[in-house]
This record gives sequence, C-alpha cells and structure tokens, in this order.
Amino acid sequence: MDIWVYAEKNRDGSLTREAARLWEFAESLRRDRNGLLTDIGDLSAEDILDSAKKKPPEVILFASGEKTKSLAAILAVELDAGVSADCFGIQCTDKKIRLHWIRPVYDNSLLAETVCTKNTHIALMRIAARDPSLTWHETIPIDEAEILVCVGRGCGNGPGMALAKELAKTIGAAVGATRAVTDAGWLPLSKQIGQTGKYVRPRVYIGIGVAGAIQHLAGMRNSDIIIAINRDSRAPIFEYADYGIVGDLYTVLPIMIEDFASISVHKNKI
Amino acid sequence: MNIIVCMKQVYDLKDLKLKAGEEFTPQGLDRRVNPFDVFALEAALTVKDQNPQTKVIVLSMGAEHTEKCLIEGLSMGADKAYRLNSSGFLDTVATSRRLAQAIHKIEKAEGMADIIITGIQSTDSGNGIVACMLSRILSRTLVSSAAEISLTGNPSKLEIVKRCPDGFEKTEHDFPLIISATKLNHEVRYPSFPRIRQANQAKINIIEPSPSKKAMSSTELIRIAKPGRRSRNVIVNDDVQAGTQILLRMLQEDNIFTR
Repeated sequence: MDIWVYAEKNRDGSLTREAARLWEFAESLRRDRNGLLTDIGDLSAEDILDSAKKKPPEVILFASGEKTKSLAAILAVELDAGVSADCFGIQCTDKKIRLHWIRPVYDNSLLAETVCTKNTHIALMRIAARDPSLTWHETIPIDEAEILVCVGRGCGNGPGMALAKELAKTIGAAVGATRAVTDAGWLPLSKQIGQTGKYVRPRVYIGIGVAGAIQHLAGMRNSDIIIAINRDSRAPIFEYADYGIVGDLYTVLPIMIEDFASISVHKNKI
Repeated sequence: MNIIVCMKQVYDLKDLKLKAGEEFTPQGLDRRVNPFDVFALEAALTVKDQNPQTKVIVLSMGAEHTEKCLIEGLSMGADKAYRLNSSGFLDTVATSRRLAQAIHKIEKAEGMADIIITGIQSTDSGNGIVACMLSRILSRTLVSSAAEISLTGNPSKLEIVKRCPDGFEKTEHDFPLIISATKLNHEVRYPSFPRIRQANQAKINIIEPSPSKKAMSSTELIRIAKPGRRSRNVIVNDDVQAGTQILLRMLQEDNIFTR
C-alpha cells in the first residue's frame, strides 16, 4: 500500500517548499507504508493512470492548483476514488486508511470534516505561497510576505494609515488591507486579503483597526501568529487572535513602533 | 444551439451567527442560487442574445426546494428547466456521475448540448471539481474560468475570455464544450416582471436518478463548524504600554523576532 506525492521539484532535483510541505503530510500518514515522491513536471493524467491502474495507491497528494485539480478530477473518475480539494489537513484514524479531510466550506468561513470510504483517496492540499527569503521590499506580494500588517477601516486614510505603514517599515512587513479599505480606494485591490482578495499565510499577521468580518477571516485565519489591535474589545478578530491589544491605534502604534525598532526578524523559521 | 446550465442551490450565510468553535446547522437559513452558477447562466443568456434560436436549459440536482433555483433561472431567461431528484449529501464523484446521466437524458429529449456550463465552484462545498469531472465522464473539452463567452463569425466556434492569474486570455474553441464560469466581465441581468410570472407557471421536468454502484456517495460528512478559538488568545485590554511589551516578549519566545 502506497502514498504517492506529486509536486514540483527544483531543477537540481531538490524539493521545493511545496513538495517539502506535501511530503510532511505524507509522512504523517505513512507509518509502515511506502511513500513515493514524483516530480509532477509535465506529467499528464494518463501517465499517472498508467501506473495507478496497475497497483492503485491508497493516497495521492497534490498541491491545490488549476492543473492539479483537473488531474485529480480525472484520476478520481477513472480510479473511482474519493477526492477533496483545498484541504488544510488530513488525518488517518485507523490502520486501514480512513482519511479524514479537513477543508474550508461555505466561502471559507467554516471548516468541514469528511471521511471517505473508498480504497483510493486523492487530496489537493492548500499550501500558501511564501517567499523563502526574508528580504523585504515595498512591492512584495501580500501572499508571499513573511510578516504582514493589515489595515482595516478603523485605520482611516490619514494619520492612522501612515502609522500602520511606518510600523510595517519598522518590522519589514508587507501592507495588506481589508475589503473596506480597498473599496474606499485607500489601497489598491492587489492588497486585499480575504474571500474576494488573496489568501495569505504569513508567519505573523498584524491586523490594525480590522474588525474581522467572516470574509476577511477566511483569507488570513491560517497565519501562524495573529495579532489584533482594535479599540473595540468585542471585535470578532479577537476570537482568532493569538495576541490582542484593545486600545486606540493612535496610542498603541507609536509605542509599538518605538519598541519594535530595536528588534529584527529571526532567521530561523518556526 | 443548445446550452445546458448546471445550477446548485446553496445556503445563504448572511444571517448566520456562529461563535468560534460552534457547529453549523442550516436551520432558519434562506437558500439561494450559487452565485457562480448565476454567472454561468448569464453567460449562456448572452449567447442567446446573439442567437435567439439558442435553447437554454437549466439543470439542478436536489429535492423539491431546489425548484426555486430553477424558477429563478427561468425568470432570468432560460427556456426549460430540469430537476434531477436527489436528497442528502453526495460527494463530487457521485454528483458528477449523476449529473452526466441526467445530461444524457436531457440530450435525448432536447438534442445534443453544444455547451454545458456551470459555475467554477459552489460557495458551500467549494471543491470546484465537478466541471473537470463532467469533462472526463462526457469526453468533452473543458475551458475553465470563463469571464465572457460569445459567438464568432464562424458558426462552429465560440470565443471565450478566460480569467488568468495575471489578466485575461482570449481563445476560440470548437463545440461541444464544457465551460466553468467565474465572475463575469459584465453585469448579470435582472429578471423582468412578465418573465417572473411566466417562470412561476412553467413546468419543471423531473429526472429520477438511476444510480449505478459507482454513482453512490462514498464520502460522509462528519461535521461543519466555525473554527475554534486560538489556544493562546492573549488579549490585553487595560495597559497599552504593558501590552506591547508582552507582545514583544511573546514574539521573541515564539522565535519570530530577536533583539
């Protein structure tokens, strides 16, 4: 019984971040099973089917994407397998793989757990893009940033915004925004985080004046560490924050900027 | 020309109030047409605007309440409606196989479909995989993420403007096609009053499924819930100065920052 992982490899044959992450998922299921990692390169569904029909694997893992989704769909139909897209997690409960899939549903606002009883399971895992380097520049795309400062409506477009940007500069963070902010034209659409914007998964997300609408939470909830600053203690974002400061941003941000000026980003990943 | 539009009914979550960690129940929620399927229907209707001979058929799978979504389709401008009878949770493979069977039945009655179009994903389960599966099962070419479709001078070709990560791409394709529609480049039409009246009286054709073993669902839904609170959840709300210091210390402990 096998677990097959299909992912991009680097030219020199080393693992990309995506491949490494997928392999971690495979390892967590593996126990005494054989794991096989294949470079997806230009593989077609027929190439994979050729080997899978001879001896169907228990699990096939891909990273979410348009091409892999269509591969997974074809494999699921031909192998009569269970398939699940955009999974955050997979768990294996007993000896025969009965896979539990954890994935977002209802516009990413809720999480569903499903279990599949087929002999072959195909999962598309959602792996956020993240820049491997820690260098920072103004134009870094928000979905590749290690540290992200997100401005919400509460920031306004005046001194609040300026403070948020100064904090971002101090700690080397990219600046993202909620929909209210991009709708108002304070920041371009490319900076929008959430259901109608981008999904982000930085190491640290700092929400400033962000209330935490369900659509926004959907886009950032998987960040490693969530920090919220808001003067309304009932703001929903506090439920999802690791650390929160209830207070006026005009008081909090200057203190943070001063305190954080002396620190630098740690080189090791968590 | 025949176009089949696959539409799904989903729950409207705008009135949903759930706390962190609470389990989801659909009780008291309204149902609506999956917004991406409304785009699919609108795209089909733009082809009908160009060629009024086009027959637009809406297909939906579900119990009787699903007919509301078909009536909405008719009132926007579809010509015929079919409901594939079904109840309970079905996984994507089972759904796709059953839809494919229903499409064969519709094609027997109405003629071959030149275009089968559906939304790129549903807002509920959101796998976004059914169009890919239909393409495989029915052996027809798939074009995904269409933001605009239109007839060209050549009667055997369809022009599709596809949404790509960095913009749009215009391509031409031969029929028959399966298309998944995303947010369109133009507005969606409103139903007119006379059309609404007609739609409410229109006949909905019902297809009973004849599921083979392969079209049975093999995925079981265990639970849907709002994600739980973060385990740490340290909120400081009296002393801002102390708050930033605590924050800084914790981020150092988490190995994020160093001095």
